[in-house]
Amino acid sequence: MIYLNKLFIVFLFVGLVMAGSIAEAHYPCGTHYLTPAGENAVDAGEIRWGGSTQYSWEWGDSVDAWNNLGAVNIAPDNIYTYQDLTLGDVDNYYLGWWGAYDYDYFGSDSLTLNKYYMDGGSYGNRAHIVSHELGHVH
Amino acid sequence: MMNIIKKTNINWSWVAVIAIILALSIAMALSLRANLIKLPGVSYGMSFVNIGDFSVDEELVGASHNVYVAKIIKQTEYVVLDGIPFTKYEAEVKYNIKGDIVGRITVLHQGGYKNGRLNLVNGAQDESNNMGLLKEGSTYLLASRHWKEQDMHFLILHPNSRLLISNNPNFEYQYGKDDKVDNRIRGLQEAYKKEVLPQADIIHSKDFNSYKRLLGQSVNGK
Repeated sequence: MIYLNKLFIVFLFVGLVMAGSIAEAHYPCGTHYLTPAGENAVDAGEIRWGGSTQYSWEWGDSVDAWNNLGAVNIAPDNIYTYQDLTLGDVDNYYLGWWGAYDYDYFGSDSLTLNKYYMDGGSYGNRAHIVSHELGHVH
Repeated sequence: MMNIIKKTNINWSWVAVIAIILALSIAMALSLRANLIKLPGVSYGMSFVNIGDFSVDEELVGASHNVYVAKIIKQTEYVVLDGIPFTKYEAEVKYNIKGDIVGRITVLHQGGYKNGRLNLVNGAQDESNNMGLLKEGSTYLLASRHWKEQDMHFLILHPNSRLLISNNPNFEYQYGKDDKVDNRIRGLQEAYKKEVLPQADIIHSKDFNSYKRLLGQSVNGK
């Protein structure tokens, strides 16, 4: 009887995890806004970011600009927060974009900048790209 | 050792339950990561800033290394490159507008399974945007950039960068049989002569199949 109880607990756990993975409202780690209208990295009114980019000045200026609008707080991730967004660079000539945002159902979303094009742009152009992508993030 | 185990008074059956739960959790996480489990539902949260205004044919053709008509033979696999999901296809080129591909190629469409969930480009919800995944057996007019080292062609995604010619798997494309398609091809051929090349391609000499090179002319002194 005790053996069956334990087996039941294992199967109950598996069932709950499967249901949770399929459910549209919550995630195993952290909570993202997920609505029929779109998916984004906003988590309880803020976006905690990690990772790095060589375009840190452009990133900083874009973050400041969005934060000044007051809609959401974009801040670096720390040990007390869940990382909603991972910043990174690639150098891929075979892609046709300056920058891309990718929503992740389970983990951190990503914002990727393509050095192949970014390096040839002006500061203003680069900042515009970063700001545009940051707009997609929320 | 057995005496020590007996003396600790641990209910080892519960330890086994916890170990099984942990093992199942790890197995599930790894399976999702490897896309062995594919969850229902689709996310349309992927977006990007294109390197040009691809609603303008001269910029679309200029940014493309190849523009062609191809039939999608089969979808081969889902891959994640630099954290971005793609869907890979085998395609057979039927007609070239820019470039000179012969036979079958590997084509990659941004969007696919990542961590067990289907991630597509924002805009793919509406079929008229031409941003959804390709369908096996269909024939399309496509524009792509070529990763020469891996011989893979990455589709440019924009409503203007693709045309569905036929979704009939038995259809064999021939130029001159469909006015709508022929007009589009002629438009792109004209745009090719006046194409606007990305500055990065000129700087790095990656303006593959550019019109000027086709004519034996230098591109920006190179």
